[in-house]
This record gives sequence, structure tokens and C-alpha cells, in this order.
Amino acid sequence: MAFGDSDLPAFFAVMGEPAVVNGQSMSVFVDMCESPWVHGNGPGSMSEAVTKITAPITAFVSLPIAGQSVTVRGASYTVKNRTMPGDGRIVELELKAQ
Amino acid sequence: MSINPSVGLKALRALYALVTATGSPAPAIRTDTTEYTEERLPAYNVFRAKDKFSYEGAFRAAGATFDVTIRAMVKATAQADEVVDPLVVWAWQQVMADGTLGGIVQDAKITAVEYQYVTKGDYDQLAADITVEITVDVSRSDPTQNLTFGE
Repeated sequence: MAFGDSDLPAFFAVMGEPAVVNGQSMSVFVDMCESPWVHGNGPGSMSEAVTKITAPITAFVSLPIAGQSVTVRGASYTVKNRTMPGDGRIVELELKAQ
Repeated sequence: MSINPSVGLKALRALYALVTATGSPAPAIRTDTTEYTEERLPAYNVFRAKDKFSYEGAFRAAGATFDVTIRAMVKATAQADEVVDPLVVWAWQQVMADGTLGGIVQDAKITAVEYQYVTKGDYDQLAADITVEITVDVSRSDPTQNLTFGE
């Protein structure tokens, strides 16, 4: 059995966790990684947490834009950046703490 | 045989002491090579950037210029420049109030502040690199000898 775009909503519903994006409830993947950032000259570097959620594009009534509110894992964020890698069927949102 | 510290290192130590004086708005570390995660901010990192020398004055002297960076790092949910400003102001006031680092150099002055913003991540992070230019005459044959103040 092939796995296709039409299976994405079911896949996220089972594997994802609840979030509210711009007032809309949906099931998303949550990534909490760290982004090292090497500063220009001199010793040391800065590194910061990057919270990102991923959802199928069909989950959104309208595509989210920067500044809209997001609630996930009990914390409030706003959308910082939106990307749609590959064929655009998946939407990734980098979040900003509130 | 022990080797005495250079005038440049003494100047850096004196500058660091000024940044960490009572009332400092953030903890400071000197020449820290570890990673600054958001939990550690705000913070200062004070380190040497470049030493330069000229030979235009007295025959025995080398005109030394030491560039030291005071890196002020902050995080914010908005307007990180507002958050870093007190750290820059504190460093400015501490360095420029005397200008001789307690009487060990000819001059110590801030010559530039460069702001670098981090756009990724949960917070807006900002590093302000404050360049302090320190001038002092040292012995040509011995960088531990301060000719400006005749140590």
C-alpha cells in the first residue's frame, strides 16, 4: 500500500499533538531543537532554542503568517517564520516565545 | 623563572574589573569560549581582539594599541536593542569615567559598538560588540614594562 499526500491528515492525527494556530485547533509535530550561531570574531558563540511545529497544509483554513498566535504544550508563541519545503504539502512554522 | 604579565594583559584585567564592578547589569566572564544559550543571558564576555604597535616615538618605546571587545549579549521577545542598551551604557560609563584604567594606561576609550542580531529561535537575541581601544607605551624589548606610567 502506497503512502500518499491524502494520508497526511490521518498520519498527523495519530502521531501529532494538539495545538491552536491563529484560533484553529489542529494536530502538529513539535520540534524543539537548538540552533548554534557562531558569532563573528572572538571566542564563544551564541545558541538558542528553536521551537517549530509542522502540519499538513490541508489542516489550515488559510496559511498562517508571521505574528499570528500559536499555543502548543501549554506555552504561547507567535509565528516567526513559515516555510513549505518540498512540494509544499507540509507547512513548517518557526515560533517565537511570548 | 616566572614571566611577568604583559601590559596588555594587565590592561585587560583592569578593564574586566570595571565591567564586573558592583552594579553591573549582567554577569561577566573573561575570554569565555563556552556556548551562550538563552538561559545564560544577559551576559558580558570580555576578551582581547587585537594588539598593534608603532615605533614613532622615543627610541626605547613601542606605542601599543590594544583592542579589547566587551561583548554584551541579551535576549528579548521584542526590541532587543532596548534590552541591550543598559549593558552598553554601563560599559561606556565604566570605561570612560577614568580613561586610564586606574592609572595604568595612557588612554582607554570606546571606538565602536557593532550590533549583531540573531533571527532564528524562540527569542530575539542580540550581541553588541563594544570595542575599547587602549593606548600605552611599552618597552620595545620588554612588553611587561609600562613606559607611560613607568612601572
